[in-house]
Amino acid sequence: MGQEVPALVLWSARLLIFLSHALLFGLVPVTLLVLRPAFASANLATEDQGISLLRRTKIVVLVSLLAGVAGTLLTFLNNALEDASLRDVGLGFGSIERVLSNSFGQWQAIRFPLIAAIGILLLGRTGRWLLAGAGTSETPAPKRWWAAWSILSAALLLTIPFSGHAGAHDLRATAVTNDFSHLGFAATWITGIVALSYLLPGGWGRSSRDVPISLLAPAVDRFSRVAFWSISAVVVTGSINTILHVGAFSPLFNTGYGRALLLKVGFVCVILAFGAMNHFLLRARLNESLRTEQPSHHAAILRRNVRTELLLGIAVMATTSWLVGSAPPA
Amino acid sequence: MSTHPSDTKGATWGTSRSCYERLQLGSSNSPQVGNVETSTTISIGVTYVRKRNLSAAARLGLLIPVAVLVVAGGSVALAHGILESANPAPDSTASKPPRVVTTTLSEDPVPDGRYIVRDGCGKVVSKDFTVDGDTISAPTPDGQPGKWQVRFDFISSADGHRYNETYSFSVKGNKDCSAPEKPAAEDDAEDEAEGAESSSGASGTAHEETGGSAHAADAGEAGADVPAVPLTIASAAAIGLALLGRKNPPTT
Repeated sequence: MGQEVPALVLWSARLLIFLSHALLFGLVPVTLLVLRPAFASANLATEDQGISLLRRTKIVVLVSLLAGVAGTLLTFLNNALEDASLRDVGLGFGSIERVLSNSFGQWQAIRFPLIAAIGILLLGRTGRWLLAGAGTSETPAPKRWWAAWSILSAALLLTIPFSGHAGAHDLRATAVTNDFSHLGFAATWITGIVALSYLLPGGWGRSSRDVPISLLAPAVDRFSRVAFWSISAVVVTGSINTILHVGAFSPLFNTGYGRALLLKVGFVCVILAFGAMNHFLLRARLNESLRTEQPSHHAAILRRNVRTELLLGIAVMATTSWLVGSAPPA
Repeated sequence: MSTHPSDTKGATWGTSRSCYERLQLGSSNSPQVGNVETSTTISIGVTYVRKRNLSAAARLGLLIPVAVLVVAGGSVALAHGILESANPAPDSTASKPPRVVTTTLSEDPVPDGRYIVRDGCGKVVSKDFTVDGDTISAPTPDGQPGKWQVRFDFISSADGHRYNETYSFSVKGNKDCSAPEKPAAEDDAEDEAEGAESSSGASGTAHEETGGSAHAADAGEAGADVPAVPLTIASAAAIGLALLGRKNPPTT
């Protein structure tokens, strides 16, 4: 019996990689491009809300960095163990060397410096620039920082398709490009959901008294548009992925991969229903409430929806982690 | 279920609305008071929803693992294998013993692995094998008719997954399992085969006897071909780029 990382641990490791890479990719555009303008009218520098926002942003960055390293370490270790098992030797430097000699191992290995680099870039910076223009003396992030972030985060996200089924597909360029787009849009969406449910003052774990509609309504208004296009792109690129990796209708029902994919589609459909409710109904009510300065219970409904969406988003990623470990029919 | 006072829906909403109305009446146009009103009312609303939200989240939390387990209970295997094609094809019937058995996978395997072909007598006939891209092939010069079995165990070089599958095909004819060298040689082969299947050492023997793949295997033993320089350069470039990007912008 060979030595291997247990399947459940490996599955969790993949989930950690998906979640962490999504947050490390999505956090910057969502916070700096979507949320920051929404804070422009608020004076967050002296408020408890501003401190909470900074602290929570830092926590998300730190947790994502650690989760990314842990997930990558576990998958790397699993490969080294499998190599050792296949060769009937104990785990040693030779197995690690051999994992590094194939493209999968190389893409895994390059994640470590990329995660470290993104950590250097984000820690102590994202929070400050998030509050720029919202009552602080901070200036917005310079172009050079944006350029470095774009290159590093894209490279980090690219390690997923290159070390997965897309990288092994006959139409490699198409599969990798499509999978990269799919992951990028999904990352933007789920980071926005994390931002609305956790980062904003009054988010999860805080007293409900702190829900400020003056922050929530503009943030929801801005993110809602981004979410609409992101989730639409996720559906389109996901459909292309299905064509590339399933190829026909019947394997959807009679293969494990197909059934897992259907489950994922089911979760996405529920997310779409919640998203539609937020986008077409609650957003308008919140804006109206902000305009008339009248409180609204729709804020509470929206927050409940967003939290449910977050759980469903994690479920989608969990299913994807399973898909990554199973054989595509095509 | 809950004993929280706000669980009494009518009372909660009633309180919420009346609070809101009272504050609204007294607020005039002061934005500060307006904020207080908003905060108070939403606070009550959130408290109300949280009671329901907990159970919804709990239900969802139960649903997700159950759904995943249902799917997992199907045929999804974490260590997957993808047999794309083979010659002779799985479950087919050949008219005579094949001289070469080939197996094509949908992903390129790393050269080291196990590839064991047994003939109709259950004897290992694949003394060596070669890996060329996604195709593994083994000469099988002395196979006997009957039910042949092919077993492969490889790691994908593309996605790191492990292939581990067995398939079989039939060969027409009458088998003669009393081969010339019989008992000793066959016993050795059996031992090798059993050893290979139980991951003990026959795979090493197979590698040593491997033609094209032996070089890769030996190279692997001596030290795999790790692109250390490109990996180091890429790592240094990533860290350097981050440090450059992080430099403080000029103060205004």
